[in-house]
Amino acid sequence: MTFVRPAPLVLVAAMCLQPGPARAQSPVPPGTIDAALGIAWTAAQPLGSGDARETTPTGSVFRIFTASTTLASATVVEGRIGLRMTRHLELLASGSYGTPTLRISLSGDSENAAAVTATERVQQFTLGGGALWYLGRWRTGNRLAPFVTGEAAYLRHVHSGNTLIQTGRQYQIGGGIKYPLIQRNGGRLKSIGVRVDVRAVLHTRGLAFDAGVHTSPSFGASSYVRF
Amino acid sequence: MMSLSCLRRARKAAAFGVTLALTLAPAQPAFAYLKFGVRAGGRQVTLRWTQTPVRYVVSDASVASGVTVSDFQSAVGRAFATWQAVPTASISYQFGGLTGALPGQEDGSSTLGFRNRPEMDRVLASTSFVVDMATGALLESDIFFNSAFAWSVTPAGETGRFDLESIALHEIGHLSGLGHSALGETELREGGGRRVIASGTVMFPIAFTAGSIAGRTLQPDDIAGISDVYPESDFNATAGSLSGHVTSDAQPVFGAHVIAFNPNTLSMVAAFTLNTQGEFSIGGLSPGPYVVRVEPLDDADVESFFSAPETVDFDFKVAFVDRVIVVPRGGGSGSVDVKVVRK
Repeated sequence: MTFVRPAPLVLVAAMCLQPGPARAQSPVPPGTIDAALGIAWTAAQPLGSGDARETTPTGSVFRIFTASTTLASATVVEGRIGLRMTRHLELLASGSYGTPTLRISLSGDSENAAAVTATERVQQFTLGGGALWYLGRWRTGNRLAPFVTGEAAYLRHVHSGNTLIQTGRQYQIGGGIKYPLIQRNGGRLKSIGVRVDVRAVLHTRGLAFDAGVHTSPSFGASSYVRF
Repeated sequence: MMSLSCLRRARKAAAFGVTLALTLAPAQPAFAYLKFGVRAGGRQVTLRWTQTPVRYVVSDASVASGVTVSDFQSAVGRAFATWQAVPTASISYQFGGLTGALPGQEDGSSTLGFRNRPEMDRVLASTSFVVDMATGALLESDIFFNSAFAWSVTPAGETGRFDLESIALHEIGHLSGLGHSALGETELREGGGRRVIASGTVMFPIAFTAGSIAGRTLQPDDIAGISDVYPESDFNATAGSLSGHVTSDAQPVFGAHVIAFNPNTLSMVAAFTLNTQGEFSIGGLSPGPYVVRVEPLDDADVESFFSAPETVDFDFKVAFVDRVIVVPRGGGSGSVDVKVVRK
């Protein structure tokens, strides 16, 4: 099971709070590119439960045991490239990689087998795109840039030993802030900063044992460079 | 693969017959989905039809009270159609007409018919085989239904009467080469025998109570079995297998019942550890993550199942494997080592 290490988030938060030198900020022109690399922690996602069952003479169900499946909370590494289209709109291409743990809890056995949680570490890849909208009217000061974002991604789960691949879709909606730590008026590199955000992660298929949508909260922190 | 030796009778040097019975209540041998095997030409081969469609005839010589020949033919026809409809299996059957012959006569025809055998007061039906001992191929298989019992052919079943279609479905599984499955729960009856509480397979050896029609639907264990014996062209490339061995105190456990459960499809397919190394293998599985449960054989008469029942190990607790087992497409899971604890 992977737990988030709080240190990076705390560090990022501290960096966000530290005031930078006051400097008039001109609007970011279209064509500007933000490249970000960071981590995201996603809470556990229940993937459904079901019974191992047999049929009684009347056609009703006899439960042998119950299996409840969860994708454990995990931290993934993610990268994102954004292309500023207008003053407010940025188009995104993104990808992530992590190794969450699939947990299947087995309980309620008809012959009193001890409850067990069977686990497996899987590899998870996403590749997708989306849009980010800067909330100009919510800006506080010249540097803090709040935004909302929505992304859709292809989801790929690879089981141990690359023996089996399950695919699905992942969607993320949320919002956050970008905060430049270093800004330059000239040159190709325009700024370096941090981005933190909160999202709802929705995914379908992949490891999920049904066609439903499975939702969990996620927190992300990354560093970006702006060209 | 298990060799069958019960009721062996010689027809000629190249063939022998065996009989399997679906019983009313007594503890009977319980095979997890297994292929029958015979030693033919000095090697162990799977008992199967080498030519399809399998042609069968229906006896009109004797039918049970309340069942017409037409009813009988229709009921067994539906049961054959159910097996034939398995999309991952290639076996097919063909009705060859009515016959005046009775089942059990070695005449080259696979005959389904009633016989009145009141002395077999716990046997609803049985299947016999004639096998080419040079190749292991099935030559003939007859099914007899015991008209000493009351039978039903109505769509909804009838109280106090055994559903002919359900029983035929089980026997046709044998006719096709499948053994019994142990995916079922029973309880002992006062006065002997067992009552089925629930079953996870048509090939469970003990029938549901009279009036039930719950046995008309094939279960994943049955489908895996028939598909393993008669795989469709791409079945072996798309299905996978799960194998390993069961030990207790570092010693192999013989006769452990191993269930593979797919939490995605909620299906169960099972097998036994069948050798002195405690090894098991479950084939015909759809690819995906599985959990494994191991239990002692406690719902059947072990002495009639294993040729050396004294070697069957019952002294361990039901247990789950604590890791998810991945069955890949067209391949094996890798060895799953299951350690069980003594009671």
